[in-house]
Amino acid sequence: MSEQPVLEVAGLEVSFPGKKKMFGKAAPIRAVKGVSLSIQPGETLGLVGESGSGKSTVARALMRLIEPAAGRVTLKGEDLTALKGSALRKARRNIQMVFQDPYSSLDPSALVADTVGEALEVHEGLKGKERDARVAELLELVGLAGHHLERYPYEFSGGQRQRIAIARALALNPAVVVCDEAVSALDVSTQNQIIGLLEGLREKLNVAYLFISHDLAVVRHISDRVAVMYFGHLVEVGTVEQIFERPAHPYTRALLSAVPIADPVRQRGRKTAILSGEIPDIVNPPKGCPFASRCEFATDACTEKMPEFRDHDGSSVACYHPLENSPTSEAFALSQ
Amino acid sequence: MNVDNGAVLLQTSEPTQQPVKPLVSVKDLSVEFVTDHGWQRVINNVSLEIAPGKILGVVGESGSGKSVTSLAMMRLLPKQGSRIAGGSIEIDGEDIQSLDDKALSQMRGNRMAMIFQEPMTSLNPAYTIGEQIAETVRRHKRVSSKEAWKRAVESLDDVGIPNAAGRARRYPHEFSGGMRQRAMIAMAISCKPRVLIADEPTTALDVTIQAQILQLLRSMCEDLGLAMMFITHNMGVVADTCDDVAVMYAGEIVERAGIYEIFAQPKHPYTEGLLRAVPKLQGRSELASIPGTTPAPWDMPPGCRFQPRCPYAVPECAESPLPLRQIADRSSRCLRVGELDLKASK
Amino acid sequence: MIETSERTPDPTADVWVEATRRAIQERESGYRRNTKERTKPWARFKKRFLKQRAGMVAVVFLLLVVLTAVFAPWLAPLDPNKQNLGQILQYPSAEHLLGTDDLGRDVLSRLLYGAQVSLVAAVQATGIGVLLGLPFGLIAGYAGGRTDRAIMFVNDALMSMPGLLLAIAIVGMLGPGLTNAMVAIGIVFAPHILRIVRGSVMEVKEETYIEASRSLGTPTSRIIVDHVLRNVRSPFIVGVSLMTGRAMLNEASLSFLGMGAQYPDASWGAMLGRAFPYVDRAPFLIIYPGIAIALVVLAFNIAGDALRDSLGRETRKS
Repeated sequence: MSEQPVLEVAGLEVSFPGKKKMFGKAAPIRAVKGVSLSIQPGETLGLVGESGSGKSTVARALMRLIEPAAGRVTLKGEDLTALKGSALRKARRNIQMVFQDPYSSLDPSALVADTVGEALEVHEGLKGKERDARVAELLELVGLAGHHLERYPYEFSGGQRQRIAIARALALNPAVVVCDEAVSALDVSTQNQIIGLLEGLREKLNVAYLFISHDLAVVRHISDRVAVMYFGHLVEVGTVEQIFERPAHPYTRALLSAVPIADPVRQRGRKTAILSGEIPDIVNPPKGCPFASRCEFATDACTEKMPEFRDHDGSSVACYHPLENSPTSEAFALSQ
Repeated sequence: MNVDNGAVLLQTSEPTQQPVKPLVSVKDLSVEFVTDHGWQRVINNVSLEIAPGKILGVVGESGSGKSVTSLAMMRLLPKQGSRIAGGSIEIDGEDIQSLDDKALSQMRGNRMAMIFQEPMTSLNPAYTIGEQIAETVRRHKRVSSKEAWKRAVESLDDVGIPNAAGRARRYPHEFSGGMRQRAMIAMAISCKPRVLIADEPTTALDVTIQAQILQLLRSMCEDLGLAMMFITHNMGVVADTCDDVAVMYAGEIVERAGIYEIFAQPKHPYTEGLLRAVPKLQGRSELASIPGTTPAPWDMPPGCRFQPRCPYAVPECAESPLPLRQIADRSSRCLRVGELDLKASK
Repeated sequence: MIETSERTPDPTADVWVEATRRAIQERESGYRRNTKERTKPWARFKKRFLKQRAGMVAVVFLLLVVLTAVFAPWLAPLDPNKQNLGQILQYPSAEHLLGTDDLGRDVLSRLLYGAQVSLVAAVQATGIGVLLGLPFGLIAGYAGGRTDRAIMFVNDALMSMPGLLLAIAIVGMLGPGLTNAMVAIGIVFAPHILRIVRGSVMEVKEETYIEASRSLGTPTSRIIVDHVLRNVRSPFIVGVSLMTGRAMLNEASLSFLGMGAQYPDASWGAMLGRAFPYVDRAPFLIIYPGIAIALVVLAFNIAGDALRDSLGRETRKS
C-alpha cells in the first residue's frame, strides 16, 4: 500500500498515576507501552486483546480523551498530539468514536436530533430546520427513520441506540471512526446487523475503522489487518489471514485456540492449548516479554528484554521465537 | 411423530438403556411477573431434566427467560412481584416449592448451588475468601471451624487456585477476575452439592480464562457426578461444554436435543438462526442474524411465538399455540418441523 | 440498500443472510411498536407526581399560601400596621378574628401580609444561594483536581461554621434589615447547594455521553450547559425546594432575633419575636405565626420529597 496512511500512531505511551503512598511519590503505572500503528484510508484495522491489555486506552489516547505520556498521533498529515484548545477541537471532526455501551453513550435527556446534530451545530453552525434535515438524512443512512429525530434515547432498543451513536459519529464525515467494543453489548441477533451496517458504510463513505474488540470472530469478519495487544504491548500485526491462519506470536495462537468453535465435533476433536497462569501484575511489570511467564517457548532471553518488532512470514511480530507456520504445522491445526 | 400436549418428558437417555434417575426434574414450570400490564406470564410450561454427571445447556437471547427459569429453580425470585403459576420443581428428590424457608436455606448452598456472571457482586468484600467459604460450610455441615477452614482451603485447591492456603486469607478485591470466578466455584462446591446452576459463568471473562474455567467445570461435573444447568448465549461455549441443549425463546423451550444432534441438524428455525448468527473464526461469509426483537410478555404474537421473525413462517403458524413435539429422542416446537431441512451452517 | 461486499459472492442466497440484509437498512426495524407507551418526560413527570397524594396536598397548600400572599391587600380585613393602643393584646373576637398584638394591630391582617414578606424573603435567600452555589458547584464538579480542591476548601470552611451564627455575623457587617438578612442566609446556603450540584456533576461527568461530546469537539462550556446541567437538574430542583423551606425557617429565626424584618413590617418571624415577651398574657400571638411557619416548611419538605420521587431517571422499560 503506497497510499499515505490516514492515521499514524508512533510510539504511543500512556501512564496513569500509581497508588499514592503517604510519603513519597508513587511510580506511574504504564498502561500502554510504545504502540505504533497505521491505518490506510477506507481500511479496517482490528485491535484485539484481553481485558487489561490496554486496547481501549490506546483508543482514548489517540482520540486525546486522555493525554498520552509520549508518542505521536498523525491524522491526515496533522500532528494531533501537538494541538491544543480550539485547534484540537477543530481537528476532532476527522476522527470520531463509537462507544461500547449504547445506554450510557447517549444523553438520556437529549432528543435524538440534538445528539446527532450536536457536531453539526458545533462545527458547521447548522441550526433549526437545516440541521434537522441533515440529521434525518444521517438517521436514514444508518437504517432509522427520519422522523425518529424527535424521540428520546430510552424509546429505542440497544441495537437502535447503537445506530444513533453511529449516526452521531458519521455526522461530519470523518476519515477515521474508532469503534471501541461497539457491538459487544448487543445480542447476537442485532450484533451482526450493526457489523453489516458498519461494513456497508465503509464502502459508501470510504471511512477507515479502528475496530477494537475482544471478540476474535467479529474482528476476523470486519478487519483487513489485525493488531494484537498483550499487557500494554503490541505483540503482533498482520493481515487478517496471516493473524488467523498463520499466527506468529505464541500469544496470538493461544488466544485463537481458546475461542470455542460452535461445532461440538470440531471443538472437542481440536487440540487446544489452555494457557495457564494470568496476566502479570501491572504495578510490578516484568522486565522482558510480559507473556514469557505463560509461554511454552520462553527462554532466558525472553525474561531479560522485551523483543523488538521484526518481520516474520509477512507479519510483524515482537517475539524471539516466532512460530513457523505451514498448513501442516501444529499452530495451524490449533487455530482451526 | 407423537404429539404430547406441551408436557413432554425429555429424556437424556434412550428408553432401552438403564434409566438413570434425574437429579433435576422440572415439569411444566410457569412463572408470572407483575408489570404495568398486570400479571404476565414470562415462563410458560418449561420442562427439563438433568441426569447426574450431565451438563444441560440453556441458550437463548436476552429476554428468553433462561435466567428466570434458573432463579425459579433456586427459589430466588423476588417474593413480591413474581409468582410460580404452575408446574413442579424437583431437585435431588426434594420438591423445592413445598420447602419452608429453613429447609430451603439448608438446601441452597448445600445440595444445590449457583454461580453467577459477576463473581464480585456475590462475594462479600469485607471478609476473606477463606472465611466466606468456611462460613458456607459451617452453615450446612456440623463441623468445627478448624475443619471448615480446612474444607475451604481444599475446595480452593480443587478449583486450581495455586497456593490455596495462602490465597484463602486474601480478600476478594485482591483476586483477578478469573481467580474470583474460581473462588465462586470453590464456594459453590465446598458443600459437595449434587446440582449446580451456572448462569453465564464465563461471559465476563477473557477467552483464555474462559477456556480454563470451562475445563474446570467439565471435569468437576464428571468427577463429582454433578447435574449442571449451564445458561449461556454463546454457542461456542455450548459446543465445548454441554451434553444436551434446551433452546429458549420468549419464555418457552422451542427445541431440546443432544449436543451433537442439535448442531448437526437443528429442528427449529430459531435454533438455526442462532447458529447461523455465530460469526466464524475461519473464512469469511456474509453475516446472518435474526431480525426483529423478542416480544414482550404482554405483546405475544398469536400462534407460534417466533412466527413473526421466522423466515419459514406460513399463515398456519399464526393460528394456534404449538406444543413441544417429540421426534425420536428430541423435541421441537415447530409446525413445519417435518418438511424443513434446517442446517447449522451452509 | 447497501451493496454487499464483493468478497462475498453468495449465489445460494440464504434466508438468514437475506433477512439480515433487509434488517440492516430497514427504517423502522426494532423500534418499539407499542406506541401507547410513548410518553414525553414532562407527561411522565406529571403522571408520577399526580400519584403522590402527600406531595399533591403540599403543593396545593403552598399554592394557596402564595395566593394569600399575593392577594393579601384584598384579603386582609384591616391595615396590618394600623395601631390601636386602646385595643392591645385582645383575644380573638368577631372584630379581630385572630386577636390583636401589643400595639393593637390586627393579627390576621399581619399574618396575611407576613406571608408575602416571608415568601419573598425565602425566595430571595434561595436565589442568592443558587446564584453563588450553582456555578461554583458546576465548576468544582466538572473541573476536578486543583480547582475542585480550592473551591471545596473555602466551601468546607464556610460549612464548618454554624449557619445561624455565620448569618448573624454577616448581618452584623451589612446592618440589620430583611434584604441583608436574606443575603446572609443565601451565603450560608450557597455551600449546601454547591455540594449538591458538585456531587451530581461528578456522577454525570463519568457518563460516556460526556466523553462522546468531548470527542465531537464540543466546547467545554457547551458540554456543561447542554449535557451536565440538563442531567443534574433533578437533584438540583429537589435540593432547591428543600432549601426554600429552610430559608423560611432561618428568616423566622433572624427576624425573631430582630435582625430581619424591621418595624413595622410584618413577617412571621418578626411577629414571633414581638410576641415573645407577652407569651403568658397572650399565648395565641406566638401560636399563629408558629403554626404558619411550621406548616409551610413542612409543605416545602414534603413537596421536595415528592419531586425527588417523580423526577426519576429516564430508564428504558422493557
